[in-house]
Amino acid sequence: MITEFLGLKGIPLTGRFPLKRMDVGHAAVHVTHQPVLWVYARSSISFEPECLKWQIYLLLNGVEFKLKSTNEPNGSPNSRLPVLELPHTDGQTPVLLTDDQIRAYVEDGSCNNVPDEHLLHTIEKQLRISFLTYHLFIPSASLHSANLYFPATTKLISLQQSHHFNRLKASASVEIAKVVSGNHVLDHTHTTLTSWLYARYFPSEEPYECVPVDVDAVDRIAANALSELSANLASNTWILGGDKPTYADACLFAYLYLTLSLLPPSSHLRKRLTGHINLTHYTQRIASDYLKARI
Amino acid sequence: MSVSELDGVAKPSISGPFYETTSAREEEPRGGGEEDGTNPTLHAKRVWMNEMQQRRLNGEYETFGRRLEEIVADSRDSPARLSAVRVNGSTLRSSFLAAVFRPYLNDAGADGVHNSTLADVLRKSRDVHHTLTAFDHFAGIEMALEPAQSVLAQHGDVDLAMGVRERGKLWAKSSTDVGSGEGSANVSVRVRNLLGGLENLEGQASWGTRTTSAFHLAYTSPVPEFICTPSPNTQLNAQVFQAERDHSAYAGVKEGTVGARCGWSSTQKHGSHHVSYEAAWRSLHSLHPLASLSLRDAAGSSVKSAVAHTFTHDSRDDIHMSTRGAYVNSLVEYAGLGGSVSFLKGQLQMYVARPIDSALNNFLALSFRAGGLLPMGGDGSVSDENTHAKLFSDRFRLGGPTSVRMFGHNRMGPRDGEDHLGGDVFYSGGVSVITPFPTKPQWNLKCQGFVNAGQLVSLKNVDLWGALLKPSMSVGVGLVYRFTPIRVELNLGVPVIAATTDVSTTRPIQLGVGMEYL
Repeated sequence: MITEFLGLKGIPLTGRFPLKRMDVGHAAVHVTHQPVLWVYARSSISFEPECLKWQIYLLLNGVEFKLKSTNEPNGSPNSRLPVLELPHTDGQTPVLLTDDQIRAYVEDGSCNNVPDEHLLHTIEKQLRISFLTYHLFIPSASLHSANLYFPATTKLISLQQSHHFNRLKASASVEIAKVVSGNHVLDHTHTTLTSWLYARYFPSEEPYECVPVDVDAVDRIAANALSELSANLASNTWILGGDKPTYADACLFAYLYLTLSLLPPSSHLRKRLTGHINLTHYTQRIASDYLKARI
Repeated sequence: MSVSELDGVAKPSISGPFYETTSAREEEPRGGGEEDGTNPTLHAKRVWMNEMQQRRLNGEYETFGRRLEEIVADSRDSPARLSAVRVNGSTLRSSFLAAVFRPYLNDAGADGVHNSTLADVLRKSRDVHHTLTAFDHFAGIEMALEPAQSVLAQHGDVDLAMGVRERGKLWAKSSTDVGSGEGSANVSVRVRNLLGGLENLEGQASWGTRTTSAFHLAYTSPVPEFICTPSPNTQLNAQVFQAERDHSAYAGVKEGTVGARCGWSSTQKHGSHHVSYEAAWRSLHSLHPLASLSLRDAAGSSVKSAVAHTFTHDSRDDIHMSTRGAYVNSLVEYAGLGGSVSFLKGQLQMYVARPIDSALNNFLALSFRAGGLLPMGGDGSVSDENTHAKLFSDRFRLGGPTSVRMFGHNRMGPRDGEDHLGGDVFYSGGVSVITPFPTKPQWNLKCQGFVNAGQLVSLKNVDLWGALLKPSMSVGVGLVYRFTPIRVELNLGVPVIAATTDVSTTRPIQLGVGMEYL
C-alpha cells in the first residue's frame, strides 16, 4: 500500500534488483536413488516393532532400500517413525510416506492383499500390548529399553531421557489399558500435579501420566494370542498359509523377533513364546533369510 | 565635601558582582493602575514576590555555601576520621551494610596511627553516597557529618549519618514491545531486596508474534557479604526460563526451550564482563508439512550445556542513535559439558560513530559483526551428520531490518527448499550517514543513507572461502526515529548483490523496529 502511495509499484527498477545473483553453494543438496526408511535403530535392525514391521515388509517384498537411524519421530510428517523417503533427484521435492502409504507404495497403489482382520487384531493389538508390557513395564527390561530409545551418556541427558521415556510409557500404558478393558476411551484423570500442569499448559494428544497396567490380564491375553497364532501357523511357511509372505507375516515377525531378541531369557513372555516351537522356528528362519541375523 | 576635594583621593579596588540597589522594591509592579494608566494584576504581583523570594534564597544558599567552603578550606587539613556510618530508614541487613562500609572505615596507616584529614572524610562520604546510589535501591539519600557517638571515639572522629528512602518492595509492569522482527506483550513482577542483601527476584511472562510464549524467573544480587565485599559493579544472577518460538517466517518449525542459567557479571572502567553457565533443553517440533529434509534432520530434542564469556565496552553517547563513541561486544561460548550438542562459538560486534560536520550536525556510523561456530561432535549416540543438524538453534542468522537491510528477516545464507537453515560462519558490515531532518534539526526524526553487506556460510560449503568473499549487498536511504527505548527506521532501498538462496524484500520499502542495528 505504501509502495502504491509513493508510486513505486510501477517503477521497473524494483523488479531488476538485485543486480547480480551469485550461486555460492548455499542450497542444500539431497539426492537418493533408493528409498530410505527412517527408523529407530542402533544397528542394521530396528528395535522398535512398527519400524521393524515395515523394514521386514520391504525386505519380504524385495524392495531395495537404505536404512536411516534417526531415532527422532519429530522429523516425521505424522510425528511417528518409520518414514519412507522415496527416490528423488536434486531439486525435486522429496516424498515421505508413512504407515499404510508405504504398503500402498510397495503393493503398487492397491492394497489388494487384505489379510484376515481377526488375525491382524490378534497380532497388532493383543501381541503388541503383550510385548509393550514386558518391554517397557517390567523393571528387568525397561532400563535397557530406555537406553535403546534415548541413550543417556550424562546425568544432564538422563533427565531428558527420563521425561521422554515416561511419555513413551504413558502412551503405551493407555494403549494397553484400552485393549485390556476392551474400551476405546478411558476415563483417565490426572493424579499428579505435574501431569495436570503439563496437560494444562502444553496440551498434547499423547498422555503425560501412566495408567496402571494389569500384567496378569496382559499375560492371559498373551497366552491366548500365542496359542492362536501357533495354531494358525501350524506347519505352514507363512502365517496365512500361502506360498508368499504377506503384511501379516511382517507384523507377526516384528513382535516375535523383538520378544526373542530384546526381552531377557527370564521374561515370562519370552518363555511362553519359546514354548511354541513353530513360532520360534518361523522367527529364526525369517531373521536368518531376510535380516541375516541369528537369534 | 565637594567633588573637587575628592580629586586627589585614590579610588579603592572593588570588584563585582554589583547589584542594583537604588530601589528598595526593585521593579515591583506598581499598584493603583489608575495613576499611570497600567493595570497590574494580582498574579503579576505574586510572580514578582516568588521571584524575589527565590532570589533571596539563592543568595542565602550562596552565602552559606561560601561560608562552608571557607570553613572546609580552612580546616581541610585538620585531623578527622570517619568513625562510623549510621543509616536510618533502611531495611538492608546490618551485616550487608557493614560489609559495604568497611572499606571506608578502616583507614589506619601501616603504623596503626590514623592520619586522615577532613578532606579524606568528605571524599569518603561522597564515595559512600556514590556506592549506595549505584546499587539503585534508594529513592533518596541524605547525609550529615555528626560528632562520633562511640564511647571509644577519639578526638576528631565523626560519624556519617545517613537518612535513606528505599524504593518500593514490589514492582509490576505490563508493556508491549516491538523489536527484532516481532511484537510482544509482557507482564513483569519484581520483588526488591528479598533477603535484605539487595536480592531481586523478577518474573516475566510474555506473548508475542514469533516468541509465542515465554516465561522467566530471574534472581540478581550483589555478591553476598560472606563471600566478598558487596559492590554495585559485581552481580550474581540466576534464571530459569521457558520459551516457545515460531520460526515459520524463515523455517517451517517451532522451537520449545526450557532451561536455566547462572552467571557472574562485573563492570570495570574499560567495560563489563559476564561469565555464565547455561543448561537448556531445546525441542524443534511441529514441522510444516512441506518442511525440508534438512529441517527434518534437525527436528527433535537436544540438550545444551555451555559456559560463555561476554565482554562489552560501550562509550556511545546514545545507545539507539549515537553520534560519537564506540561499542564492542564479544562472545565466546563452549557447549559440550554434559549436553548432547558440542560446539565452540565466537561472535564479535563493533560499532563506531563519528561526527562529520559539527555545524551540520551529521555523523557517520560504521558497524561490523562477525561470528563462527565450530561443531565438535556429539555425545556418540548419533552420527556426525545428525550432530551438525542438531545445531539449528545455535547457528547464526542474517538479514532483516536490524541486520543486512532490504533482505528478509533471517532469510540469507544456507537454505533447503523454503527453510533458511542458518550458517556457521558470518560477517556483516554497514556504513550509515545520518543527518538531521531538513529544516528541523531539533526533531528526533533523522535521515540516513546506508550501505550494508554480509555473508552467511555453512561449514559444509565445498568452497567456504569463495562463498565468504562474495558478500550480498544492499543500499538505500531512509528515515530514522528515536523513541526512548527503541529506534524505528523506514527505509527505501534495494539489494544490489545477493546469493541465489537469499530472499530480499518484495518491495523496496522496509520498516525496522529494534534496539541494535547494523
